[in-house]
Amino acid sequence: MYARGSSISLSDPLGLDPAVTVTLPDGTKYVPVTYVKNSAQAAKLGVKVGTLVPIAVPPSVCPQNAVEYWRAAGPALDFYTRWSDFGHYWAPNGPHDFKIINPMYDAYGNFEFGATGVAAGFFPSTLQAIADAIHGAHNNPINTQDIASGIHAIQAGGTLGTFDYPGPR
Amino acid sequence: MSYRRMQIAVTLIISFFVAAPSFVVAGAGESATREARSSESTSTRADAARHFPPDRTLIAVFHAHRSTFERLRQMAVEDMQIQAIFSESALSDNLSEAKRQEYKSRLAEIDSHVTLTVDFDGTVRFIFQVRGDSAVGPGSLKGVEFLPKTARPGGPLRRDLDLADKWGDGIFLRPLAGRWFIFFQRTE
Repeated sequence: MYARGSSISLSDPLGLDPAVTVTLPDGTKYVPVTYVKNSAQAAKLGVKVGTLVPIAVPPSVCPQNAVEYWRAAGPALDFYTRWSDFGHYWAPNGPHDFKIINPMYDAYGNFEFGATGVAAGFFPSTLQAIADAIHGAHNNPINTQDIASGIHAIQAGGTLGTFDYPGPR
Repeated sequence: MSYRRMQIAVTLIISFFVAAPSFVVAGAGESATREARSSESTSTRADAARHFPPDRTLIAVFHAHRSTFERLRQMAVEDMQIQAIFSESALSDNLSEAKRQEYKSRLAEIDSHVTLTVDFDGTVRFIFQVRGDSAVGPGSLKGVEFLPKTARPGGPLRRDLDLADKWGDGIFLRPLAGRWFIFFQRTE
């Protein structure tokens, strides 16, 4: 199922790209989806704006690793340090600014922001309020939904993984 | 928590996402635009942070260091399974020490603040300037991109990208040489 048999070995010569899956504690697996929200994403994916698609995962990224990191690190930090570290983790042009690779990874960034945020111990409403503030008080509803999707996955006890789908190639 | 204390807490939290990263971004493009600024002696640091490097600067840097661009592109594609966003200050421990040193020295040859990215389809970007407050917020970026024949360009070709930050959301490309382009991306 995974490219080269590994969820973190993501270069697939068959032209399949990884997308997020969530496995719930009872073994149920589902694929969170997002809407293509702008012309840049649409052009990269070769579909129309508004199309429902899986959430594409960038190269070398394992979604669950980031959740595990924040689940371990978050509760151990004091209020100030936790917010400071989390803010810098999601800094622009940093190692987790996935949309600089390709605009279609914007959805993954939002999903993972929600997932890592609740794993670190932040309230979902606070995470959404921050995202709204960054967007001048009102976030795009698609971004809000992707963040909520990541929050829900972790609150439901889900484990994040990837599956291969015919991506933008 | 009282309403007043909650207000203070929310202000503090937002400052981590908006004020601090904005400072990081202001520095990120500084050396990328030094050539442009050297010809505009009245420019201030704040001006440099606000403006993207002009096309002529990127064209000059690309042609002066083309072999370095090519080598870094090859390296990024080879190392895609280890890392997808490379910069001098953020190189994976899973890369060999020799590889880390080569990335550092070659990136510095182009610009000490350039960020290198690679995608599954072989698209490689050299990002010279990013504007935005957070990785989960709106943002704009400009740089040089290698786009393989089989990759989707993501946007139209234009003759000049110096005014691209006024064009709205999207990706815009200006041919540079072969499969190399100057690109500008803005997303909500």
